[in-house]
Amino acid sequence: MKRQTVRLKTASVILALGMLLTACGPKPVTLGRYRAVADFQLTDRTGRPVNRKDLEGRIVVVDFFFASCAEQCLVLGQRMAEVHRLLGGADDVRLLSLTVDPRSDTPQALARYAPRFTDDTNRWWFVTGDKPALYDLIQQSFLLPAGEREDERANFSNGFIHSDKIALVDAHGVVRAYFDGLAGNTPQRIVEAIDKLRHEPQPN
Amino acid sequence: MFAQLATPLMKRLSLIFPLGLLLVCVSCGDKHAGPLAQAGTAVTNLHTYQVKGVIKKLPPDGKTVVIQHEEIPDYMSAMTMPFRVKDPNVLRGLQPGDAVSFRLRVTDDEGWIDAITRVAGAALAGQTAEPAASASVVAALNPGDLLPDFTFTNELGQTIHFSQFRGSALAFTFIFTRCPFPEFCPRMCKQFLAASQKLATMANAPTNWHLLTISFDPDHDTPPVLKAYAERYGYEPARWSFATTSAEDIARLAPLCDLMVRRDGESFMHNLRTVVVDTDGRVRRIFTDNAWAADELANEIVQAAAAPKAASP
Repeated sequence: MKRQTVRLKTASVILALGMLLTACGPKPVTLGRYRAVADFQLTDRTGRPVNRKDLEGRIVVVDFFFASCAEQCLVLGQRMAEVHRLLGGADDVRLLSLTVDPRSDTPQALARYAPRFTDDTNRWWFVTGDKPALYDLIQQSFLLPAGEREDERANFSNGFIHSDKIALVDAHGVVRAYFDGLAGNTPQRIVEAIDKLRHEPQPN
Repeated sequence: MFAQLATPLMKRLSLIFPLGLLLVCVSCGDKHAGPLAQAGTAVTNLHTYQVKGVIKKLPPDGKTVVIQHEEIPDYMSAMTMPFRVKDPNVLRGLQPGDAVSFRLRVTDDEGWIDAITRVAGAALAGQTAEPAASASVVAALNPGDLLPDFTFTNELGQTIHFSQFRGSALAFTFIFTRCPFPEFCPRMCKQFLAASQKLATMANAPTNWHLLTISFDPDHDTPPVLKAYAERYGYEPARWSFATTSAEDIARLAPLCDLMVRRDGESFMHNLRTVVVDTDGRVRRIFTDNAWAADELANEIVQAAAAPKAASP
């Protein structure tokens, strides 16, 4: 009863002030402040060792995938590819795709997998390494628990991190936002967030 | 969920915020919990999210509280993390273990929580166990490791064990019968079929070998379903079994094989693992993809059937 009253009132006010509606575009991107990314020693698809220092001073867009994942990871990869395209070769941003299946995804396997999304080995890194180290990095720095639904966790999450989130790390190595990696508007939102980061006042 | 959440909130918000704000909030038509308010006028980009969680810790500083919270749609995954409070009084009377509902407020520069209220201690939607880093990676088997025994039900409804294949080479792989991708589960079956044909026709081939295709979808892949599936590949029951086991045992076996499986509605997201075990029950080879040739598997089986002791043909 009360609920309906509230809704009716709200609806009529909305109608009366319809012009306010135009103010509502897509939700603005908000930046939070999560964990600082821990140091890591991993290997990219060219066999080059990579660590956190290589990313210092750069904004980093991070996703988590495995090459034999048929559906979701491909969508995720396409979203990352769109971010890469929208950035137009900007050098202050790196894309980092971390495999969660390192035994399958050796540097050689990644070298076969990555070209469907990009030939750019400088700005978009597909990275693998020791599984405990990778999983520690993902859990400790990105805080993305494995299954997010109880049924999955109960049955199959053991030993398998999967997340379709994309994380955004600022130039100081702090995770600042998460995005739904499967949503179509995510690339635009990420680029918007990157722009916000670029215009943040710098400490010191 | 939205209706339950939204109604008391709308009431509360209508008391707290000017009507115009409420209007903006409602007209944005966000179907989830947040952002409930976009106070672009008064405060810099204030976003408010209504969140549920369980208090894990109340650090002695009196200014923070560690809460295991459920997913905040469009903002944050379910996780356990510390939240700052502006007014220490809002923490009064709270204890670890309390199920709470609270308001997360975020601007461009800061984030804090307030309006913490205890709620009936029901389990959270999508509640996550606290991620324990050490528990996440079970040491997977490597070549030379002894395969622990597991029990399965095969396509004929019979109980079978890994250990009953001691003395033979065993190759097993993982599938679910509803897998639609030709390059994944169906390919594993085609390769098994091709390898078995190769072994049947190979000169001096051993006879002590068996193939086992394990489904990680026990809910759907009952023995009759597995049998019908096996028959599509013209399997020979004496040489090739199709089996499954409890979800609990699959959850134990999968990490041992570095198999990754996640249910996704009626489908599964998974990687591929094919394991060849020798006559002593030790892992000989693990294929980690779909690129191996049937001949390669057949050769591994020949080696595994002989090693480490000279097996009698």
